[in-house]
Amino acid sequence: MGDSVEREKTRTRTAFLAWTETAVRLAVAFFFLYVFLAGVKSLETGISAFGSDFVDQVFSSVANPIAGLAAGVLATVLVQSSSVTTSTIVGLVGAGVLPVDYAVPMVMGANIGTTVTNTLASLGHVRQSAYFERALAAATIHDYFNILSVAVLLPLEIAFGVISRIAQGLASVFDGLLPAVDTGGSPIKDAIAAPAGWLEGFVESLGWTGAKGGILLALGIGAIFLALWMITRQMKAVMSGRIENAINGILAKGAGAAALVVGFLMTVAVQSSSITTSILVPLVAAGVLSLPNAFPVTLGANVGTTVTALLASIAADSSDALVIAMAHLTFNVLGILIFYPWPPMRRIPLRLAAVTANAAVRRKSLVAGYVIGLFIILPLLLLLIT
Amino acid sequence: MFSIFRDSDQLENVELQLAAMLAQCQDAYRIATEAVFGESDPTAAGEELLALDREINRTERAVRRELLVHGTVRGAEVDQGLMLTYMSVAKDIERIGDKCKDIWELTGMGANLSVGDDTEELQKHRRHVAQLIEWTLDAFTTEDAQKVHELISTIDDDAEHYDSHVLQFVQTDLPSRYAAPRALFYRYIKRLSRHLSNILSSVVMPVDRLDFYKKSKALDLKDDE
Repeated sequence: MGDSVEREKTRTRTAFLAWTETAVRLAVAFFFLYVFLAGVKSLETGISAFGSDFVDQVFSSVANPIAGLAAGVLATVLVQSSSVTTSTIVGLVGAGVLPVDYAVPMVMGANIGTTVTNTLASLGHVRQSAYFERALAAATIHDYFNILSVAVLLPLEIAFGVISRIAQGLASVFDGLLPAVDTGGSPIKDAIAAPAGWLEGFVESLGWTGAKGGILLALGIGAIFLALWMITRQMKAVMSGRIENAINGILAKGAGAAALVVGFLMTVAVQSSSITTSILVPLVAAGVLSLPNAFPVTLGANVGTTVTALLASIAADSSDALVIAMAHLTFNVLGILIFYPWPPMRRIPLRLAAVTANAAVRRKSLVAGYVIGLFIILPLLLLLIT
Repeated sequence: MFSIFRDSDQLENVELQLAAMLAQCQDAYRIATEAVFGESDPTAAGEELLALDREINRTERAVRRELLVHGTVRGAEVDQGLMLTYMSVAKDIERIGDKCKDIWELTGMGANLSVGDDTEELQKHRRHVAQLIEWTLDAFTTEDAQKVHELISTIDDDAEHYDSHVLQFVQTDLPSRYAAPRALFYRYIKRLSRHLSNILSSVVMPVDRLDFYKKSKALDLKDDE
């Protein structure tokens, strides 16, 4: 009797501590969401301070869509986060430095670049061939989906502006729904812009007017990095139990459209598609999750990661920032509509991933060639050629 | 899909599943011994037992998957010792289910342990093992270290006793149709008790010494040997 009362007391204390920890972590995540938005604003202010020479330089370097695509891949591989790349692109578009149609291929490149993270994670399973084959297939399915989506949608974007047009339409709907986002004078926008204004004033008071753009840009990117890292860290801790529940649900009942939604929600919650996809790799490697069941979770993660750019667009002045964020969303949703609902199309990335993994198991050096070739050499060559 | 909105302690879920598996073993043991003591129809008992065994195996696989998911999602924060311990416990519980099947299979040899001079003693051991399973379930779920030490000590004593019975029936001049099922029965309840001992050791032993019980305090201040 005494024991059960004591156990109940311990249970209540533990529940209270867990609740307190969650509340603190959510408060910290919320604070860093503000830091993230302030970072995007600072980046935008910094870019604006660079002047017309910088604008011309950016224009000329990504005027060719293939160059924009390659730049997006390389930038994301370098920073290992598509959220940082897309937030920076939103900042560039928001500052008026980058037109939307130039930015769309860069966003596509960021989508491809982010897949390197779980391809690298799959290398951890190299010791055991069967594990490695499954792990690499789970990682490269993400690569192939993004590459195939780019192969289909980039030409359509170049020829007809398909993605830009849809994004424009979506942004105008949201502009109508949320007038405060674009009309200025909202307390949220003022609060987000305040730190950039203080920094600008501080740098000017030191007499470093020439370096103002560089300082604000560096601080903005630094703040975006730090904020996304902190948000992901806090939200992962808060969401771990729920993520486990969701994955156990997928393992017990199969996948399909529900798994797509789970992947989306997981990624929105932790603000990192790499976290979601890197969780899938060991599960597929261990054989408890099949490749076809992991695929929709990956696709959901792809859509989930677009929320970061949408958030970043809140901080931007120009409505074009919202358009490019919507373009990111549109690209991923169209990719899913092309490569998921119809089984023969769904099988293309699945089969490519399986073939790549099978070849890599027989010759492990192929993996190094694949990673370096696809994510570094090819984009560099494309940049040089174009 | 909505499971992502529900928070829960996954290791607690695993503990509950292990306890449920052990409770299923209790049922499996009852069904198997009722059949071998001629108290039920062996065919019907076999079907019931196989269904329970499939359920135990399914839960074992679910426990493994959930531990893998837990380790993958939590990464470095995970209590790896506890995860390995639970893997080991799940295996021991699954083996108890197998031992129950082995006991039931004695009916296929025509064994009926209720016929013979030693029935009273066999019944006593049958009841004692049933009691041990129940006590193990209780000690495992409440993490009662004192009870664990007592039970492991009892199981050690029982094992010697069962071994002497096995030897007695192996060396006897009695007909093998009579002696063999008894030798096997004692052998099986000894193995079953050993698996209970392994489960109990998970409450008090470090992960590298699971199944190798040695009475010690939870926090040992002696230097490693």
